[in-house]
Amino acid sequence: LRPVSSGLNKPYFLETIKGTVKDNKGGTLPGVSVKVKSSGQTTQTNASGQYSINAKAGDVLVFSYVGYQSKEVTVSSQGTIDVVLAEDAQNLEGVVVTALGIKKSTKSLTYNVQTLSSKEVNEVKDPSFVNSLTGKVSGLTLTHSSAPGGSTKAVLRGNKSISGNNNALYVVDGVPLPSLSGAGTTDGFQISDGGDGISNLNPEDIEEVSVLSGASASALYGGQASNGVILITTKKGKAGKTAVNFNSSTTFDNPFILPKTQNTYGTPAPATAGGTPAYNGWGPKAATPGSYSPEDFFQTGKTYTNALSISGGTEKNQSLFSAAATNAEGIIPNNKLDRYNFSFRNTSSYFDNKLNLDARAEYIYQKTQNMPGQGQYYNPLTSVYLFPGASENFNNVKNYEVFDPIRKINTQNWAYGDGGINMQNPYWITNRNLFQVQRARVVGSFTAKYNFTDYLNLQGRVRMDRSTDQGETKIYATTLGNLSGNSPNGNYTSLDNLNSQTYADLLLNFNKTFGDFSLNATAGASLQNLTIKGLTIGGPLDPYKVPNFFSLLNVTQANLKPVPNAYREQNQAAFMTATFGYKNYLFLDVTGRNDWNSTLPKPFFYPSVGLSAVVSEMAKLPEFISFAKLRLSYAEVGNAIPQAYAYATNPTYPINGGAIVPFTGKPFSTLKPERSKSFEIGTDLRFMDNKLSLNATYYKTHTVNQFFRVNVSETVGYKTYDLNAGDVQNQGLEMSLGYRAQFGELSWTPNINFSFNRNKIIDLYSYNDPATGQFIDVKQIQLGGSSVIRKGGAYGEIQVKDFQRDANGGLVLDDKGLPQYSNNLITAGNVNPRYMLSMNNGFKYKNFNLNFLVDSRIGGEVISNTERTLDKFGMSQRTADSRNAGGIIANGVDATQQYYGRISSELTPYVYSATNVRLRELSLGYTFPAQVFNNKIQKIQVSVIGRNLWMIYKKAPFDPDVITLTGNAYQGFDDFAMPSLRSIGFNVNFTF
Amino acid sequence: SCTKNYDVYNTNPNGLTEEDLQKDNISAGIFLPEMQVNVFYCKTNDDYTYQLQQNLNADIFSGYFAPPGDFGGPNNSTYALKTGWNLWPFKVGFSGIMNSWREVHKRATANPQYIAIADILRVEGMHRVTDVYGPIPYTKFGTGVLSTPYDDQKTVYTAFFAELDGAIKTLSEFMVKNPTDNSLSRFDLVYDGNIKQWIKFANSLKLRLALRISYADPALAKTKAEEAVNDGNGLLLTNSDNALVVAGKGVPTRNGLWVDDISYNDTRMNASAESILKGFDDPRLSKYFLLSKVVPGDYKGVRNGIAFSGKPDGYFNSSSSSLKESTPVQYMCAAEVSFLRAEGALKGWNMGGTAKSFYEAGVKLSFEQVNASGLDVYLANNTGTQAPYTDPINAANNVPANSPLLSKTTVKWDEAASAEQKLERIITQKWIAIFPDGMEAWSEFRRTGYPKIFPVVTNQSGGTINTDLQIRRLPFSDDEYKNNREEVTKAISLLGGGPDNGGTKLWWDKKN
Repeated sequence: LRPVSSGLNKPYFLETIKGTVKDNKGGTLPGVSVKVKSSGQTTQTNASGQYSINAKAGDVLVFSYVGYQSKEVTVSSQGTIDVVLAEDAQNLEGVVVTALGIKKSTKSLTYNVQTLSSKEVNEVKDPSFVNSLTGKVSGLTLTHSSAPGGSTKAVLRGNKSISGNNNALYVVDGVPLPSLSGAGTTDGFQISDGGDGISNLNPEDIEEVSVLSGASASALYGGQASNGVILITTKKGKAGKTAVNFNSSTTFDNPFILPKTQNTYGTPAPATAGGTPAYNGWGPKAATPGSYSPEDFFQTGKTYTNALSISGGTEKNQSLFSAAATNAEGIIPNNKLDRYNFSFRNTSSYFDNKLNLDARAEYIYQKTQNMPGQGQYYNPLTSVYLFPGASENFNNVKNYEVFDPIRKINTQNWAYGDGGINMQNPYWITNRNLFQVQRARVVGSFTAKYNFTDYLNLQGRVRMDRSTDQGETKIYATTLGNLSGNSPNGNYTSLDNLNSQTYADLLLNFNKTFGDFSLNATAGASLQNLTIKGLTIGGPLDPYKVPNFFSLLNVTQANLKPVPNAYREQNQAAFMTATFGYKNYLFLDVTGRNDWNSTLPKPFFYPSVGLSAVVSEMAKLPEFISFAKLRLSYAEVGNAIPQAYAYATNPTYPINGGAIVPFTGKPFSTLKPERSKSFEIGTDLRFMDNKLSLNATYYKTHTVNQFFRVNVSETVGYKTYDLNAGDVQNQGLEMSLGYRAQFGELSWTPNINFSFNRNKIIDLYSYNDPATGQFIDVKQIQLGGSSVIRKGGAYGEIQVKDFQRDANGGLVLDDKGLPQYSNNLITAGNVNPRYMLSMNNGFKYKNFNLNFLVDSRIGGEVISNTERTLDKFGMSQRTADSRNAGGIIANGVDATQQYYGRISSELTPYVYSATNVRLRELSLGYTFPAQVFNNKIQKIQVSVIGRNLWMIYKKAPFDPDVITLTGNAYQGFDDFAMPSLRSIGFNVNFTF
Repeated sequence: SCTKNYDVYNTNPNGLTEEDLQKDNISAGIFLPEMQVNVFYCKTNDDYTYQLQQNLNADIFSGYFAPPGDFGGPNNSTYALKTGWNLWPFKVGFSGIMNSWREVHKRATANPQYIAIADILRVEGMHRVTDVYGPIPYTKFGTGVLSTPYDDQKTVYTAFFAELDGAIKTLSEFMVKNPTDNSLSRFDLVYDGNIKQWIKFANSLKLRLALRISYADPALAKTKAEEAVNDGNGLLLTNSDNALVVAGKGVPTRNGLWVDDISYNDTRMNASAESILKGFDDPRLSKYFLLSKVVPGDYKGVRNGIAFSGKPDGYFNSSSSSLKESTPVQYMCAAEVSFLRAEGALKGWNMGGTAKSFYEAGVKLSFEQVNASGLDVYLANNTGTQAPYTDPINAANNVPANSPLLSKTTVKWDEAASAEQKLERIITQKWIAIFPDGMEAWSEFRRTGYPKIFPVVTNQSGGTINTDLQIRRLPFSDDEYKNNREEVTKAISLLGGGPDNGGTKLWWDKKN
């Protein structure tokens, strides 16, 4: 062996070393830094991963590339050195962004953090990027509307709060986002889902997503993060040649699974000749089945996403500009979403990298029309699913309006009545019951960081987010009276809403190693200010004035009732976090935060503590274990009063209808924050040269001092009391298992996520009635829908009425021979999944890559009011099958209709297992290498993408995914919700 | 941290603080308007409230109105009592009246006249609530932390009399001491601050309540009735004395019956009203109702408790009431007072006149009130009796000419008639005169059995309500079964032995 050269030695001779750098999947790596260790001379690999550099034998070449483990190779005599860089497997050796944007070494983390790259998020696009996380993060349960840009409910590690919010907090570049949730997302008669704040983001701006599922990880954000955090890091400009990236994706959507309706039995004859036809399928069997299917109503949904980004700069100043247009049409006619995102970001450094500045500005304009909700109101799907196609002609319905020569306006063409469920002509609803919202959102953020030394810096950050919604509701004349304020002329509502959030913080960071010891500490303070101000005003159009003239001036003036919306909240916090390290394999992590929240009478403090041990570096482990880490943590998080119960400690006298009225909630001046106490223990293991990785976390959370608003008898002088009580326990396991296999040029990277959560209501509330001294223990609360909170039960429990039964459990029939419901409530299930299991597979062969995600949820139940109503109206295939088979005979007569009428009077028979397994995502891509374009274009990637391509297994007669409500009540409750979508599309990505 | 602004942050910018209420000294009286618009809910906000407070119960049980459809299923009109509807009279009574009453009492310690007005309004509002359910939590209201015991109805009525007596005394003294004080005007939608009118109303209300208990406690009834009549400040004697809630003082109002009828198309003229008014050839028919579309050129009512086909079947085209959106709701009119005195005189009480004189004066006041003509002919009519009823859509609902459901009573006073016949005549005319106060009409129907209101065609009460006796009360509020279960369960024993259903008679319901 030759001695290792140093700069002082004279070279024997220089020669040109060439080679190609590849990743371990066989792909070439452009932009890899190649450095001669002794001389400092550097170069980079070109677009094809090739490099050439002058060095002499004995020199050490250092290959380094972000996201990959660096490699050093000593130059021998040969002139070609090909190198394979190993991916920095899940950043185990690297750093991750944690709460407040503080970077920590993954080794030191005492809790579970799951990270997804931009590619994993964006492979199969959704206008709301959160929906793309389905099946990719263990412990995350997502429910969302299938409408483009609809709201998403993201629950990590189970529901914790009974009255408050259970959604994860979204944090962008270290700063919490306001939720901006759409109105009316909590009850069974949801009107129109306005979408939430997170859905406004341009998915292409995302660099990385970290999911902090436990309270330990998020304790530094305070109460709003007690349900975990989804942390989004946005892209920055990169130094070097200007890079232009253009991405265009087009997807086509169709209903994935529709309820099974019948078209063999038509409507019964009208009671009197020429009378109104009934609107149900309980009439005679048609000679030939009708050709109508609810599918006839839906159109192919289209989503076009075009995104452009330009990045470039010098080592000291980088900029990134991005723009994106998302234009979508839903599968329900006239449902539209148009969104335009623009952002500009500049990062720069001054004074020899002592001062770093980072400024970002973003503008979002979004326009939505008729975002589908569920329930009876303004929902075209009721009359579409219930249309008796065996005897009636749907084409007549398409002509949804007819000109009334006397009124000189178009009037609704719908001969069938409202069926008691507010039905109208479905096309009338889509075209003449209009819900339009425009959102303009401006976000500006600025960060300045000053490095006093290489281990001490001070960082200040401010972010302002101002979102204005302007909405209009136009209900045309001859809309059902119930939905038009009973005006013959129509109804008009206008809403304006400003949601403004300012966040600022100041962090002092210290990061230094002292021999075997290290300290990574941050102390800081933050201020968060939330202001919501809005006005909803409108009403029925004046019957004495002009039909369909949608102006507030044309509304019946006595009915113009302004509904102001005003909310203010301020939170101030001081916090610190410190990680003590020993020999870079043992870490102790402590955090503490104190909050002063304007909704609470007293400040509150909560701590967390955690321990991480890299066992594989502490002791000699068997060869096949490449890495082993154990972690342990405990955290407490306090939670301010839910916004829905604003001002609970300080009630004021409302003015209602011109009169001043007493307040009805008893003031609750001793209110305490809701508190989550959570414990987690986990391990990160790697085997076989890091090829196989296993990550497992067990957690247990108790959420106590829950906030309850309890109805009391109005005879005590109040309607409601507020109190802190209760204990909700969640425990469960999150696991992910990954593997990286290489067979020649073929690589396979499967990843399995598995999780389960078990919820238990340990305690609700109890009190001693000070008047009577009586001890009252409340054991059950009705949440809405069939959801029940029961002591000893679990969050999400469904209760329904049982049939009347005899001592042996057999049905007790009534005098007509039909089963009958009793008043006994039985627990029919729980809307939360028992287990979640998904497998993501990535294949790469030369320039091809294939990804597919098989996702399953096992257990849990959903309730369908859709199926119930289909039975009631005789429109389900079930009722036709039953009639075709001779009908249901009771007491010797055909009682099919009576039977279904009876059982459909309750939801009991309509509780279904939500278990399902599906091919959720599939993408097949090809990358044209730069050589194809003479290196003029760096690369072009094309891919075909699909979502919900194959329902491999399901039990319910519909896709349990349709459940859309994002509140705590009506969970798992389907009431004519929009069907889930099967999407197929293609994606083209150009990099110049 | 600087948290000194947190009081501001934690205050609803659209709600009034205690400090705000002190401005202009409005605190003492500012909760009076809310009481006034909740006796019959008549605010423009939440204007569906009246429908549940009164229209879907008393207004249809009284024979004035009937629903022209079935609201999607069996309901109150066929005695399939809907718990979700029937808690509303209770709910409005407590949230609209009792709570505001408490605020006035708390704040008006230096303004005894406000407290007196609040007491009168509370009696006017809550007697309607006890007349629906029987026992209610009343004397111990607001003392419980989580529950309040119920009072039996006798205790409630005893408290009513005591409160009215106290209020009359307070106001009489106040009026003497402060003859020019008009500070109440700002908060008074009924009499614009005129204290004397309030005393007249309190006396008249006392007379109404006295007669209500006349079968249950005749001695107390006589005492209270004679006290009321003999009070120096008098009673509601002319139509200008009528107690009406007039929009103004910053509170826009809307007549709830107009909402239910014209705006919602949920209520129409009752077949009983058609039968009685047509049978007497009553000039008030055209004042109270509009011509129907179902029988063009004629007035047409709907029977209570009929079967609907579930589709629009024409009952919507029956007669609407002629009430306007702006028609003020009426607590009490002078005609009612006259009929009350007629009944008192019939009982031999000292009412300051004869039954005949008060009866005829009552009809005259009623004609004057609606500006009807032909009084003399009307009062002389001794042949017209309740008319048969024809249902234009379903003959099964007809009441034919020879039906025992039709009363033989006429208009003309007959001194030779029996006391019972005279009573029927008085109450039948009172029923016509106090239209559209369905709550009072239903109470008096239950107390006296008059007028002869058609029974429901279909009775879906499951045997709890006798079709011929008709509904006697509403079951206790479902909210109370949820939130005050122990006390409401105890209150069943205060019902005098009957179960908590629509067939159990109230304490004052002692005649039949």
